Amino acid sequence: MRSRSGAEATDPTPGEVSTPVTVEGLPPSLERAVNRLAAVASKREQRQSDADQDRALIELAKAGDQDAFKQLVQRHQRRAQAIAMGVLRNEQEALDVVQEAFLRVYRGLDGFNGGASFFTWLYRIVHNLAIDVLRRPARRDAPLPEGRELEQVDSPLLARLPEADPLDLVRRGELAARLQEALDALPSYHRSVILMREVEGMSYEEMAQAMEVSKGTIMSRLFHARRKLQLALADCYREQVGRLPGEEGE
Amino acid sequence: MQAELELMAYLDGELEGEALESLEARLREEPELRARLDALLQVVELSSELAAERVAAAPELPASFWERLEAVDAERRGGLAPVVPLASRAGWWKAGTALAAAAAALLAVWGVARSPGPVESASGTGQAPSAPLHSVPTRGPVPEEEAGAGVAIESVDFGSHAGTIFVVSEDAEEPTLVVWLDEDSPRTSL
Repeated sequence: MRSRSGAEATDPTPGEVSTPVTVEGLPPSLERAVNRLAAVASKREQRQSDADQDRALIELAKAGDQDAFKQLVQRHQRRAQAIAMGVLRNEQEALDVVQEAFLRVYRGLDGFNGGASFFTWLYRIVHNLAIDVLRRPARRDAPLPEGRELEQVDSPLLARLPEADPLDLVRRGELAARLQEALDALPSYHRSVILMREVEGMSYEEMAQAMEVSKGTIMSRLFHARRKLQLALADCYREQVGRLPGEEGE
Repeated sequence: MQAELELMAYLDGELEGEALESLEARLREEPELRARLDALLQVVELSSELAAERVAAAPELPASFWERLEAVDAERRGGLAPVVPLASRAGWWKAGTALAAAAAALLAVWGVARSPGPVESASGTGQAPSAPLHSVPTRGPVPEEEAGAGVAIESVDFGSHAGTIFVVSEDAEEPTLVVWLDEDSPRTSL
């Protein structure tokens, strides 16, 4: 389906990596980092283009073009659900939240001035609705900490993992499975920040707006969440090969 | 921890200018820092793949969502929204019908007991509830000040249908709430 604005009714897939580049003389780990940065920049560019298309669709929807709004829904529904699932871990609840969020967006279209990006607006609604569900008495998730700031923590793993690529030693699928378990075990505020970052590639500032917390809190959550995932991977690694890379072997 | 935060911001594309150049220079010179970057990168890459899988696995919104959207669209346009055949709404509508029937009966009793002055909708449209679900002694519209004493009247909007709430309270020992739902007519107010 194509709108009058020419926007494709697609749901861009996150995690797409741009074509790897090889930089002569660059250490392999740094080369991978450079490729990651290129992917981040590419995703950011794509999001900017998507945001422009979203604005065009919103203007059409405001003028009464319901098909334009349907395209907006189709463009964002899967990613919105991934965000909602990140908070709720319940597919039906996530579906309900996303539906309600889109209906609220539709009711509030006339108030959208285009100053903020559509997805930031949408994800703020999705996130707030999901948090409301979490706060229902029947839910047992831990309450959200308010105003949690950066904490001083040790990060021994970061220092202990050497350059050796553990993916050479541990099957990637097993690592991915362990990471998934670890992600699901995270508190909702850690899990959602990871998914918001990786699903949408949102900047810290955009995530802060969507989650209505400070940028420092976003950085803190992201840091701690990733560190927990890193520890889970280290445990998996030890189980598979008996030691971390760089540790003394038998 | 500052180094780890810098590495994280670097991989997320949040470092710019001097901070970016300085870190990249250090990364070229310091193998230990590169090792930390590599360890973090591994988690970031796997997280990104996992997120992609979750997006791909997310189901599409159900057909009922589009029906609800149609209803909201009708609201936005100020028209009469279609009845959405959701189970929950259908159940609610049955309850509303029962309430309307009760309202008709109560109004009939109340109308006989009180003075013959007609009741009205407070919406100001001057329309009495039309097409009641059951036979009710209806009366024409009257100005608000002529409404019977002891009766508080509120218009009500149930999304796709409009109606009137009558609260018989001031003189009555036990307040009575009457809900009148219009079956076919446009909403009298929002």
